[in-house]
Amino acid sequence: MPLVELRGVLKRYGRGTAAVTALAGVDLDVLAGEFVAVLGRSGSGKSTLMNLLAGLDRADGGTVRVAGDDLGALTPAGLARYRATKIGIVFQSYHLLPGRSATQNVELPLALDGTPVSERRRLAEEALDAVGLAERRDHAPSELSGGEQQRVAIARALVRKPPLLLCDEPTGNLDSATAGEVMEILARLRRERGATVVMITHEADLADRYASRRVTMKDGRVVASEAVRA
Amino acid sequence: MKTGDLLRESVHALLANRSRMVLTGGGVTVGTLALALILSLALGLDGVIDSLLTSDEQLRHVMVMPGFGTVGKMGSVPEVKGEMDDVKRARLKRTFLKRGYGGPPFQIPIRMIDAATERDLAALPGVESARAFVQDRYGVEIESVGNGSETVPTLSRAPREALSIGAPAQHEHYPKRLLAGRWFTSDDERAVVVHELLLYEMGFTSDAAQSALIGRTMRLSARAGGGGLAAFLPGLTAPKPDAPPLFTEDLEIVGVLRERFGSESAAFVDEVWAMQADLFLPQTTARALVDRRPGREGPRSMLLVAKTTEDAARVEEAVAARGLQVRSVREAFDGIKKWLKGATIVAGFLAFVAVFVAALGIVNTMVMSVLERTREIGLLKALGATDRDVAALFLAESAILGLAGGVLGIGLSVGLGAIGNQQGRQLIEKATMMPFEATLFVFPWWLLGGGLAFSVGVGLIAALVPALRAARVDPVVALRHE
Repeated sequence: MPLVELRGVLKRYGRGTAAVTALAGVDLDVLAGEFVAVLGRSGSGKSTLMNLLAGLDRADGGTVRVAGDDLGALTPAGLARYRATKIGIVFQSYHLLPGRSATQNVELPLALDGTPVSERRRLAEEALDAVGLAERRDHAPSELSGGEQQRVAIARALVRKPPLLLCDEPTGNLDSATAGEVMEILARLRRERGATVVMITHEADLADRYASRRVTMKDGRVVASEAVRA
Repeated sequence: MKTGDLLRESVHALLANRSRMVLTGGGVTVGTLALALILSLALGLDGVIDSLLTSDEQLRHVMVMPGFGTVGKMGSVPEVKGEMDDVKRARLKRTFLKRGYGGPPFQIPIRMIDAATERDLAALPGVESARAFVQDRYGVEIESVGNGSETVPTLSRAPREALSIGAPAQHEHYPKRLLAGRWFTSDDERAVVVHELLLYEMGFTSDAAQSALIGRTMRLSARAGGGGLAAFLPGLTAPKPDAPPLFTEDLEIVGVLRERFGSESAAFVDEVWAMQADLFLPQTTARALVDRRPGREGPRSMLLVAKTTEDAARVEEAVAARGLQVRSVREAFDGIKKWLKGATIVAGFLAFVAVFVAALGIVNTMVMSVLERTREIGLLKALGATDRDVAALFLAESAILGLAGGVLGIGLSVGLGAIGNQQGRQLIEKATMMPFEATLFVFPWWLLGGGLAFSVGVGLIAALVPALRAARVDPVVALRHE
C-alpha cells in the first residue's frame, strides 16, 4: 500500500470567470522509502500539490491519503495533528526563527506537542547530529550559512521522525555546491533511515542525481512519472 | 502546547521587541496605578468618615442653631446712563458690581433660640434629651502654687481670655481623658476642669505641675464684649482687658483634661463644639454664669438626642419647620458619603479612561505583532500548531504584558500611597491642628489581587481580536508573506 495516494485531485482558486485550475485531476502514488522529485514549470501545480500533501490546504475534489489519513475528512484540529505527526516540511527559505539557537529551532515542533524538555533536547541534538551540525547547535540562524540554515530546517523536519518528508525547493536559495551537500543529506536520510521524501524542484539534474523517481507536472496534471535509479 | 512552553514562547516574543513592550506595559502601569490609587483613596476616606462616627448614638444627634434668613432682594446693577464712551461705561458698571450693587442678599440670623424655644425643642416628640451648648470667654487667674516660701498667695494670670463650655456630668468620653483629678459629680457643681493647653500657656508645663493645681481656686472674670457672638467669632468684638469685670466667679479646679489623641473615640458633635475649649464647666453652672451677662436669653445652640435614628429624622423636620437651622451627623455623614461617591465615580471614570487607552495600546501592539509575525504563525501551523495554540500564544503574551504592567502599577500605587499617607497626615494635622492618624490610602488584599486580575483581564480582552485574527491566518498565505 502506497504511503501517499492521490486520486483525481482537483484544486481551483478564485471563482467564476477568474477561476484558475491549479490541479486538474492528479493521480499519484508514493511508496514508503521512495525519493520522489516533482518537476515542472511555474504554474504547473507543484506548490499546490505540496500544500495539499502538507495538509495546509484542502482539495476541491478527489482524495488525498497519506499514511492512512484521508486529509479531506480531517477536521482543522485533525489536520494540525496530521502535520505534527505524519510529515516534516523543509522550505526553500528555511523559515527559522531568528534570535533562537539551532537547537531551539529544532526543538520547536517538540514544544508544540508537549515533549518533556530533557527529551526535547536529546532528540534535537540527535537530529542536528544527523545533518552534521552538532558543533553549531548553539548558533543563531544569523550566524549560520545558507546551507547550514537549510540543514537546521531539515533537522527540524526530521526531529519527530515523521513517515513523510516534504521538501519545497530545498536548494532554491543555495549555490550548486551547497545544494549538492543538502541533497546528499536527504539521500542519506532515505538510505539510512528509510525516509520517504517528496521534493519539489526546478533542478532536473539534482533530481536525476539523488531522487529515485521523477514526476513531471504540466497544467495541473502529472504528465510523466519515471524511475531514475533502481 | 504546555503552559510552561506557552509562557516561555510568549516571553521570548515580548523580549524580541523590548521598546514596544516597555511602552505598552508602561501604559498598563499608568492605568493600573491611577485606578488603584483612586480606589484606595476612596476606601481610605470612607474609613476616615466611619471612624469619626464611633457609635450609632451620634446618628441620633441633632444640632440646632439660629435660623438664618435673607434680608433684602437680589439687587440689580443700576443702568449707567449719560454721555460716555463704552470703556468708561463698562468700568462704572464693574465698579457698581464690586461695591455690592446687584449682589446676593445678606444672610443674618433671624430666628434665635430663646428660652421658650429651648423648652419647646426639649419637649419635641422623639427627643430623649436636650442639651444647650453654652460657651463664653473669661479672663482666668489661678491661686499661685508657689514653692512654700511665699507668705502671701499670688495669682497666675492666663495670657489670654479662655473659652469655656458647659459639659454634662454624665459623659462617655471626657472622664477618660483626665490627666489628673476627676470629672464633675453633678451638673451644678461649682468646679472647673481645665485643658492642659491653657495651663501650659500659663507656665505649668509638666503633668506634675498641672496635677499640683487640683484643689486650687480659679477665678473667672467676665468682661463686656467677651461673650455672646464674640464667643463664636473671637476678635469680632474683642473684650477690653482693662475694663472692670461684669462679674467674677471662683471655682475649684477638680481636673486637668488632655487633648483627644489619634483615633481615640469621641462624640463628633462634642469634638466640634469643644475644639478650642480651655475650660469645662458643669452644664448648669456654665448656664448660670452665661445668664448673668446682661441681655442674654437662651442658648446659642442646642444638641437634641433623639430616641432612635428614625426619630432623629422627624426631629430634624420639626426643628427646620420652626425656622431654625439643623445640623446632624447623619445629614453630614450622608452628604460627605454622597460627595465621596460622586468624586470616586468621576475619578474612577478618569482612571478607566487611562486603562482604556492602555488597552488600546495593547490592541495596537498585538495587531502589529500579528502582522509582523505572520510568517512565524504560518510556520507554527505547518509544524502542527492548532488555531487554539496560536491564539493562546498571543493571549498569553498580552496577559503577561498586563500582569507586568499590573505588578508595576500596583507596586507604584502602594509606594505613592505610603508617601500620600505621610504627607496627607502632615497636611491635615497642619490644617486642622488636630492629630490625624487615620490612613488615607488603604490597600486591602482584595484591591491588590483585584488590581492584578484586572490588568491581566484588560490584557486578555484587548488581545482577543488580534489573537483570533492570528488563529485564522491561512498558513499557505502566511508562509509566502514577506
